[in-house]
Amino acid sequence: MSSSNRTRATAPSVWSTTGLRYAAAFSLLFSLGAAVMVAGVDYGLMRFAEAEVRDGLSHQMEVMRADADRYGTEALVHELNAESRNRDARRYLLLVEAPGGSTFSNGLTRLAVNASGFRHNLPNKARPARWPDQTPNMMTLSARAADGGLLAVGRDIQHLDELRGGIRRFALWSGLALILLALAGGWASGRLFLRRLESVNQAVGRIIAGQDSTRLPAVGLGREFDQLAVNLNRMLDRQEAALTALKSLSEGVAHELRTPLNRVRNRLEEVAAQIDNVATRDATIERALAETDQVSALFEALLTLARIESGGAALHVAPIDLADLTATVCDIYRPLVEEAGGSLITSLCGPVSVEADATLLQQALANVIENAVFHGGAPIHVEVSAHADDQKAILRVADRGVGVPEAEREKVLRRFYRINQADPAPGSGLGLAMVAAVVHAHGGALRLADNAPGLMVEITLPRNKG
Amino acid sequence: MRMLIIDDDARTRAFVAEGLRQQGQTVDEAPDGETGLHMALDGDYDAIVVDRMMPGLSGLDAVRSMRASGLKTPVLMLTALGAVDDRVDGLNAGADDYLVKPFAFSELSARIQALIRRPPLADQTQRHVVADLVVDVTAHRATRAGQVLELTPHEFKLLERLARNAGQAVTRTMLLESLWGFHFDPRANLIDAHISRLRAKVDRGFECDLIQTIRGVGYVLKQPD
Repeated sequence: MSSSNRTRATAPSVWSTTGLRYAAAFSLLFSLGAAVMVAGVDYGLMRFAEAEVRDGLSHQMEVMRADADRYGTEALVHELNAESRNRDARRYLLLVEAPGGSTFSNGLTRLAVNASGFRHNLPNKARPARWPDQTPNMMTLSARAADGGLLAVGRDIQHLDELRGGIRRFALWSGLALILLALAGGWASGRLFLRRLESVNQAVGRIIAGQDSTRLPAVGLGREFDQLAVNLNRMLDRQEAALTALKSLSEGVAHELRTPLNRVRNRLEEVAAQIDNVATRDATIERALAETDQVSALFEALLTLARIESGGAALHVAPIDLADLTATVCDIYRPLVEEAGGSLITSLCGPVSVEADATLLQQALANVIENAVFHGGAPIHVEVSAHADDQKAILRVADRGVGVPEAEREKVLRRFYRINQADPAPGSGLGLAMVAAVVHAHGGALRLADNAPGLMVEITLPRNKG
Repeated sequence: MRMLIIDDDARTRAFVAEGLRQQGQTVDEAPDGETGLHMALDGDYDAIVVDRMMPGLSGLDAVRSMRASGLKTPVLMLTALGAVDDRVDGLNAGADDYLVKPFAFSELSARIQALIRRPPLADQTQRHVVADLVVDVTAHRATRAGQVLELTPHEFKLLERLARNAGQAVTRTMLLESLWGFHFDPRANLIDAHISRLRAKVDRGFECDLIQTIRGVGYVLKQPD
C-alpha cells in the first residue's frame, strides 16, 4: 500500500519531464537561430532588389540622356509625347522638362524628384492625397541634360515591400510551427520516457519495499538505456549476494561466538559452585580464560578475513621468494610436528619469485600446515613443496590423513564449515576460508585434491616476471 | 617506576592501574587524550600506556604530539583494532609496542617491562651473559660453561630474544611477533615446541635450568633462585 502511494507521489507529470523541457529549450534556440537567419536573408534580398532597381533607373536615364544630349530635351519631349503609347508606362515613370517649357510626364511629378540623383519616396500615411495619381512608394533618379532640361525616371518599389512582408510572414508562421512541433515532440517523448521509466520506478519501489529478488525491466528506449538496466540488475545481483553472504555470516558468527561464551559461562558457574576447592577452581578459571582467548582469536580472524575480502587496498604486495617463505614457515612448525612423533618434509628448489603480501601469505601457509597437523591423522606426515614454471608458482601441502571427500572439498572453504561438527580439534573454522581469500586476493587458485591417502592442498600464484 | 595510563574506558584504566600498583609501580591515570598528553609532557614517566581509540584527541594523535614534542618515554598502545595495517599505523605514530584487546594482564606487564628495560638502540649490547651462558650476537655464537652450543638459526634467534630480556618474562605472543612476525594466534603451541628443543641444547646436561616457564605467562631466562 504505502509503496504504491510512494511510487505514485513521486511520478512526475508530462509537463515537468526532461524531454519536454529539452524540447522547449531547443525550440527557443532554433527560433532564435531561424530569426537571425531570416533577418540575414531579408537584408541581403532587399539590398539586392534595391540595387537592381537603381541599375534599371540608371540604365533608363542613360538612354534618355543620350537622346536629350544628341537631339535636345525639346525634341525628346516631342518624341516621348508622340510615342508615349509604346513606352512601358507601367514600369517606368518619366518626367522631362525642356528649358523652353514643354513637358512630358506619364505620372511623375516634380515633387517626387530631387534636383539630381536618387530619391527614395516613402509612403506617407499622413499625407495620402499628396500625389493622388502616384504610387507613393517609389525610387526616382533625376539629372540635367546638356541643354539644361530636367530628366527624371522613377519606379514603383511597392513590390519590394511586399517581398519583405512575405519573408516576414513566412518567418513568423514557420517559426511558430517549428516551436509547436518541437513542443509536441517533447511532450510525446516525455510521455514515452515517463511510461517506460514508470515500470522501472515501480520495480525500484518493490526493491525498496523489501522484494530483494525484483529486477528492473528493459527500458526499451534504446541500447544505452537497456545497458543501464542490465548493469543496474548486475549491481543488484551483487548486492543481493553480498547481503545473503552477510546474513549467513552473521548467523555463523552468532553461533560461533555463543558456543565459547557459553563455555566460559559454564566454567564460571563451576567455579562459583566449587569456590572452596582451590585446585579445581584454578584449573577451571584457566580453562575459562583460554575460552575467551578463542573468542578473540575468532574476532581477529574474522576481521582479517573481512579486510582481505574487501579488496586490494588491504594488500601490501612486494616481490618475495616463495621458497624462502615456505622454508621459514616449515621451520617454525617442524619442532611441533616432530615432538608429536611426525615428520614435516620440504622439497624446495631455488628461489620462486612472486608478487605477494608476505604477512598474509605466511598466515595462509601456516593455516594449511596447521590443517594438515590437526586433521592429517597420526603420526603426522606432512610434505610441503614449492616450485615454479614460466607462468605460475605452485605450493603444495600434502598429508596422509583421512583426506576430504570430493563432495566436501568446496564446502570446507566456507566460513565455519566443519566436516565433523564433533571434531575436537581447536580452531575458528575460518582457516581454509582465509586461505581461499588470500589466494584469490593474489589472483591465484586454490585446489584441494586426493593425496591417496590424505589431502593435498595446492596453491597456484601468478608468477612474477620481474 | 612511574607509569601513566591514558584510556577513556574507566574499567580498563582501573584494571591496568590496579595491577601495576600491586607490582609496586606508581600509576597516574588520564581519562582522555588531551589530559593524558598534558600529563605526559609535564610529568616524568618511565612508561605510558595509551588507548588508541578515544573521543576527542585519539591515542594515535596523542602519541604523535608527544613524539613531536621530543618526548622519548616508551609508549605501549592498546587497541581493539588488530589488523596489520592498524599496527603499522600505531608504530608509525610513535608507539613502541602494540597490544590488542582483550589482553591478559601478564601480557601487558611483560611488554611494559620489556619496554622499560630496553636499552637505547645506540648502546644495545651485542653480548648477553646469564650465569654461565654467553650469547654473542655479533659472532652468532652461544656457549654454556665454555662449551659451544650447536643451535639452528631459529633456535639462536629465540635464545637471543630471551637473553636480551634476561630476568624478565617474555610471553609467547611477544615471541611469535618478534621472532616470526606472526600477528595471529596459531592453533598449535609452536613456541612450547621450540622452547623444548632449545632446552634440550641449552639446559640438558648442565647443572641448572636457565630457561624457566612462568605459568600462564611465558618464559624467562635467568639463574634459578
